[in-house]
Amino acid sequence: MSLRLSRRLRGPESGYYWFLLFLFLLAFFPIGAAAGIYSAFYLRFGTELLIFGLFALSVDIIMGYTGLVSLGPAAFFGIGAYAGALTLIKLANSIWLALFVALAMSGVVAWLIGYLSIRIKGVYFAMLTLAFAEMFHELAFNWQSFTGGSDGLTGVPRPEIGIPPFGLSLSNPYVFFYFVLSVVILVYYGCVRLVNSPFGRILQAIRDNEERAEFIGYDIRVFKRRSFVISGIIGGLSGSLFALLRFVDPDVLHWLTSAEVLVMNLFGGMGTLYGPMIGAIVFLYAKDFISSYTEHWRIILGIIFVAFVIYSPQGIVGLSRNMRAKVLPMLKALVFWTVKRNTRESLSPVLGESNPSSQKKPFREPE
Amino acid sequence: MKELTSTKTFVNILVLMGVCVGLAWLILYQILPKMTLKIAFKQLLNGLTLGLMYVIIASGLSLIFGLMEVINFAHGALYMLGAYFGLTFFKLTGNFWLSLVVAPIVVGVVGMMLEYSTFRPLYGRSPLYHILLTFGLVLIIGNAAEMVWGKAYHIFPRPKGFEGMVGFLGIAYPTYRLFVLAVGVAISVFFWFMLKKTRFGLIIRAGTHNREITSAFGIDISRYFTLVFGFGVAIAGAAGVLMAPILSVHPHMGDGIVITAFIVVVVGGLGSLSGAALAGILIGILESFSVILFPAFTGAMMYMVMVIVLLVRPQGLLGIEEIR
Repeated sequence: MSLRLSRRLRGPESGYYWFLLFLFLLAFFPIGAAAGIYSAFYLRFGTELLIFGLFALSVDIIMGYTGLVSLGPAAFFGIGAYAGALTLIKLANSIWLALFVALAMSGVVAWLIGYLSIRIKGVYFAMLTLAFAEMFHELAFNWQSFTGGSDGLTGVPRPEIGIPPFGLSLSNPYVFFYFVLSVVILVYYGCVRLVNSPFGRILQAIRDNEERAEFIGYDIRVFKRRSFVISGIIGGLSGSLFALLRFVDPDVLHWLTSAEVLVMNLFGGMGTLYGPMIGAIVFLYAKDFISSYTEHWRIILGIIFVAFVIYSPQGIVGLSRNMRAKVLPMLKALVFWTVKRNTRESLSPVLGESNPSSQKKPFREPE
Repeated sequence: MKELTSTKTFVNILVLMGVCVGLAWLILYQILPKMTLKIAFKQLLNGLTLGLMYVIIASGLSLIFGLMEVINFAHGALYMLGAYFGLTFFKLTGNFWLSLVVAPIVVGVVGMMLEYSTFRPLYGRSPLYHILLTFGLVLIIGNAAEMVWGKAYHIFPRPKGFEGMVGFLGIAYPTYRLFVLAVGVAISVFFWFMLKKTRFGLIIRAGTHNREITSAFGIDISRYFTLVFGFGVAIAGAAGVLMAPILSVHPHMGDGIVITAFIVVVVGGLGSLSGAALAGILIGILESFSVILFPAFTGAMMYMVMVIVLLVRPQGLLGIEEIR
């Protein structure tokens, strides 16, 4: 009993911290680019992977931890991107102001969408979030004078990070990588704390059994809405970082963006926080890798993806857990069996047992 | 308590008055100047044609969702496949009628193979997995079509005898669109007849209503899944062949239509075929009118319709009260 209790009190699962360690180790990544082991392109690519990891993380909070299937996470990504870029272009060249506006906008929109759509459940909720995201897509597409229409916003200025003695410009890819990495580490750690806090437990209770959580006395709509807003704000943050990395066009609001981030979540393993981030990294890397060899990358990715859905619904994280749970004991047994057999064979001349099957006859046949 | 209700009534009256003033402004200053009776009639016919295609695609989707609780994102991809198969048969044989019959059957067979090999292992899991699975299938089918037929836009010629225009009630209208209208009505009626008047339809409706009880009556409902999926997908293929001469055939032609079809299903009420028919025609007509009246809002129009319907009547226009 005391053993089980202590295990329960141990807090977050160790995987969370292994991934945090991994994120810290990524700080060494730019050294390779600086030393010329790989080109500076990979530094930008690595930054993009981190940004999409953040986006996938935001979806995990709402989908993996609260159990709400939202088909429109691109809305927050896109709003964050547009709000950040528009602030930089039209208001002031300040990263902090841009991030503040992006987070505030995506938070407000998330609250509004959440307020309207969390009243209804299941497929209806999913479709409503999709519809809202598509509305924003249409808006960005048609509001030519403000959003630049289908051309998007080009020439987003790269601001300086205003820490008084140093003037570091985000146009420097190294500075930008470390900036994104530190944001990702902070948000990831915050999310680990969040999902293991009492608030996070309530979200998981809602995911596991909504009626029961309601009967205990929680106002589940309020908690769902809060979770939706948190997810939206993180999504907006990732979008505004993306706007600083590349340009903004209506594609960031397209439903394919939502679909891709859902794919990343499933690919990595929902409800683990680090799973979706691994999923984002693997998905985008696989996409880049396959598309550099063949034009038909979508068919290969599609087949891998379908195989994952059918055979490993828990994603890469689940696969590795399965490996530990099933394959590892099997391997151990195999090794043990081989060793045992070999030892017996090598020992048999000593023991004088030429035929091992003679052992299996415990009694003599009647004469 | 009484005061509260009276405030509520007052607010309701205010909202109603606002809506009335808004509508009056819309009709007097936005709609009337751009409309003549002829244009309105033409747009009405266009809207009906478009709406009927939505109805056909959405009813297949609705049938599949009703029975299996699967959201088939690959519906649009199979619609696109129908158009390509139709084009190929048309090029091989030169006979439009043959391709209109053969292409949907081939699409149906492809759909049945997909259902048997990929959907089957996932029944009983969260519906999310089917969304994700069918998204993967969209990638595969779209790319496979690109590999076989290329990225280019193909023009599907109109069949013989339907190339021209026909004049009636003072307007000239393409004959082929009228033909599509007629076929659309025929498919919808056939669909309705099959579902409401045959034994097969009875079993499907029973399975949609309550799968466990249907099984308890000794009907192996999961055996019908493959068939129903094939059927639902085949009529999407038929819509693909029918629309190909109006639009053009390309690998992305199905991308947008699946969302539209979903909206039609949700606005009409999940699992309700008459609802899907009503919503499809409504959205088709609204869309063709807004092309003329508010071209900037055409794309957003159907989403707004859906948001309003879902907020006012979450179960859809003709959906049943219970929300799953």
